[in-house]
Amino acid sequence: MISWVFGYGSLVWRPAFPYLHRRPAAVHGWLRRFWQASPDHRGTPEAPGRVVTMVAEAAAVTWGMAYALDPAYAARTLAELDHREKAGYLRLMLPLDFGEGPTKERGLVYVAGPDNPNFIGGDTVEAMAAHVRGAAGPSGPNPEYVLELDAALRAMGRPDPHVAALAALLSS
Amino acid sequence: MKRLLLLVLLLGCPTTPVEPEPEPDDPTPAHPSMMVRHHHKDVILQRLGRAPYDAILADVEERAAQDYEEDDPDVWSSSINGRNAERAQANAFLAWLFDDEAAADKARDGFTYLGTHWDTNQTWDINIRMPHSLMGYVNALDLLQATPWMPDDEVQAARAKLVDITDQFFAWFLLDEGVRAFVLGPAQNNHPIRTAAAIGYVALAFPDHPTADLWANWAFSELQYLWGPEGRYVQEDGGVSEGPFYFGFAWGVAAAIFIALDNLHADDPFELVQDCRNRNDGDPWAPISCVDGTPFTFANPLRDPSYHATVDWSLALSLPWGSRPPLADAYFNPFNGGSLLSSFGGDGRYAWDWLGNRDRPMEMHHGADLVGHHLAYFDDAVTMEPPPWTHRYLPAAGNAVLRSSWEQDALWMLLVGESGPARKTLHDHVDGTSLTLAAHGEYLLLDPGYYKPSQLDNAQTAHSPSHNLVLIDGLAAPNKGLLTNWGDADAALVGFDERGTAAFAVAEQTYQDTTVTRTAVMVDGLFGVVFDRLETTSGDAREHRWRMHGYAGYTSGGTFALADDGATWERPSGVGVQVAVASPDGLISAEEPPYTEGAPPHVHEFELNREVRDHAVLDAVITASAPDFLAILAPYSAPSAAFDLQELDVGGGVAFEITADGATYTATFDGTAGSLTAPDWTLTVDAAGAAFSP
Repeated sequence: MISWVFGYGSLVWRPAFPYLHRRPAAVHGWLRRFWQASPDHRGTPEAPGRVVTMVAEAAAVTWGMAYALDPAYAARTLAELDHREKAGYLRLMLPLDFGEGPTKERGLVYVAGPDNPNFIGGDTVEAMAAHVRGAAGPSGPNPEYVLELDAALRAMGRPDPHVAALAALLSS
Repeated sequence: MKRLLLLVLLLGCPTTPVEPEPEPDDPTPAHPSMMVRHHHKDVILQRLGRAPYDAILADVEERAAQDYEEDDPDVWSSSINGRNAERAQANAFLAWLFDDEAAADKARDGFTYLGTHWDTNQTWDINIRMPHSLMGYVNALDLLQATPWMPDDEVQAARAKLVDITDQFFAWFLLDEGVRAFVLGPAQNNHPIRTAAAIGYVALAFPDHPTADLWANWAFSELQYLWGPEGRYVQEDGGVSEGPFYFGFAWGVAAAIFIALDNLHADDPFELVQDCRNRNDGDPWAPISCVDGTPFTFANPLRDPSYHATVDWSLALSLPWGSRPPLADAYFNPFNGGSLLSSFGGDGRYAWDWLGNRDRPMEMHHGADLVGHHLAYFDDAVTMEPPPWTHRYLPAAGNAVLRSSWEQDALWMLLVGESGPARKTLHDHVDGTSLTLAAHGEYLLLDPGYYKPSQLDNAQTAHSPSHNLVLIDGLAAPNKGLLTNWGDADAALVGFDERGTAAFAVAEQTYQDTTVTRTAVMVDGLFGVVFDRLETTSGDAREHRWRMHGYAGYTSGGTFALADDGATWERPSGVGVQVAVASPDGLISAEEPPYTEGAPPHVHEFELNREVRDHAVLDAVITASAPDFLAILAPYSAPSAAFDLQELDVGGGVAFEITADGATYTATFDGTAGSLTAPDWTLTVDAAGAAFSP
């Protein structure tokens, strides 16, 4: 058996932790949304950026990347993930779908719920684009985050309309 | 109110009849065999009708009266199933105890709410939440089997559900190398203990299940390791690495499984083979000596002095009113389960502690549902009185407690100096040499406890500026990293002596190129004195902040007042503490660090209700190479002339004269040597250490 970490944001295109191999995968019942403020990676406490979280929605399917973890680096990997996702994200274990429906395999997923202090909710795509355009943090400019995520999802053949709409405005 | 008085009130009548324990029937029925045996029924029935047993029974009845909750058919919930299990257990207990068919029916109904879609759960650390479900339902089934109202087909169906869930649980957390490495491996603490207790409990209940031996071998190998010296979870003086709060989560479930094992295997050796799959030999754990497949006999720790010593450590730490102090990641909490040891060779002080807690007497839920156990195993024939010791020096644990008495208004001081396995734990704070104080029934000089606004970050109060330390250029020891990045923050306790209500302890830590040696003195149960000797290899003049956190000011209520040489915090009750600080190396400036609402260093979270509050902080600031400090910590119940504190003008050093309770004390420190003169003794402090004379 294998343990997985499922990424649906920056982990899709920049995991930066040791793993054995990776596979595109999806989780059911969750919807990716740019509804989470980032005071620590793509923004600052004074001018937080906007990054993705997932919100529960029964019929939704969110595609991302599943990483098979290397147990030899367990503590280090977990510490790195925790540090990276520290601004309000919680750990969940969700069933993974590798393209043929949900399986018994589960992935560790970081989800920032509506009760966390950095949850800012939705806005018009234009307003979100304006927000993202003006933000940058220790991990880089906020637009880069959106564009890289959009490109990675397209490359795996699973574009996300929500991400694509925001990326289109930022590219224009 | 004094704890003894509370004890008398709770017990109702101080002269409690001693009951001979009835001889077990012959032959002993097969059920119940887990939380109780058949003969406990008579024991319990004889106890009912007097305090505190009636109150314990009322707790069982309250739980039994609750309705079951429907679980989410799509996501198995440990919370819902855990609560349902405790309801089923409570009803089954009443059915067994009182031959109550209606209670049996409700307990049987509980199993219909238990789903086996465990693999749909979404909780990363569901392993630590499984004891409630598995132990509760196993107990319910075991108790029901001792009644005439549990048909065999229902027994088989209930058992099938429990072993199905346990099979899934074991496969996910133990057979999956990745999950085990990520979830259990880095945390050799209450996490694997709770996992082993839950799985081992099912293995004990259904030993003929095909995988029961696999479960038992792993669970009891793990329990033997973690409660023994190799696990380094328990230090040689009984201290537990993750602090008194999380220790409660380990101890309660361990007590439940050890009691069950005692009920099942009291007269025959419990033979197993070692399963070493979850050993970790990374720092601070010992090299792995476990060999898979090696036969061993599990020695039940239930009557073992080393197991009881962990409860003594917890009791030694307790605040004067019984709750455990915030130390590491912790808040005020009572201890659950110690009084059960009264049936297993334990001292009556554990029952005294359990009954006398001011905040939450008779705690029976923290970490494990042990309510029914208290009816069977809390034996009120034991002599319930406070420990024979007051002060407690526990250098392996890294805790020195100075205590004037066991009264609730006693003076209590806790000096911390943890190192190695006592410090290197997930819940650690960078608090070497930190000193906290309580007096007159109030927590006054505080540890900020547990404030963790992000679940995935260390507690914001974990770092040195949130503790009562000497900060050099803003820091003491380096911050701890995430998970097993322990940081370089070893401290040590290096000295102790006591003389009645006077005692001292010495802690030492090196950071910022400086060795800080702190001698904390309890003076005749009246006040505290602190000598801080600093030696550095740095020749630079640096900013030194002698920092103290007090429980008043801002959103904590009460008042805070800065003075030229220190500060006074006063609680809304009128109880307060005056702190005066001086340095033989120059004038200090008493000031408050900049305040941001809800942020360190002013924020804390340690009350039972987990409210986040801010408090006032004193910094006695001096810029020098390695300044020494002399401080007086003077608690009071109401400002009065009974206590007088004056700084004396002496050449070549600093001095205070303190008049307290009609006696005069003088404390001096010239940077080389210090002294504290009391009417009946003198304490000297110098490079060689500290010593009382005559």
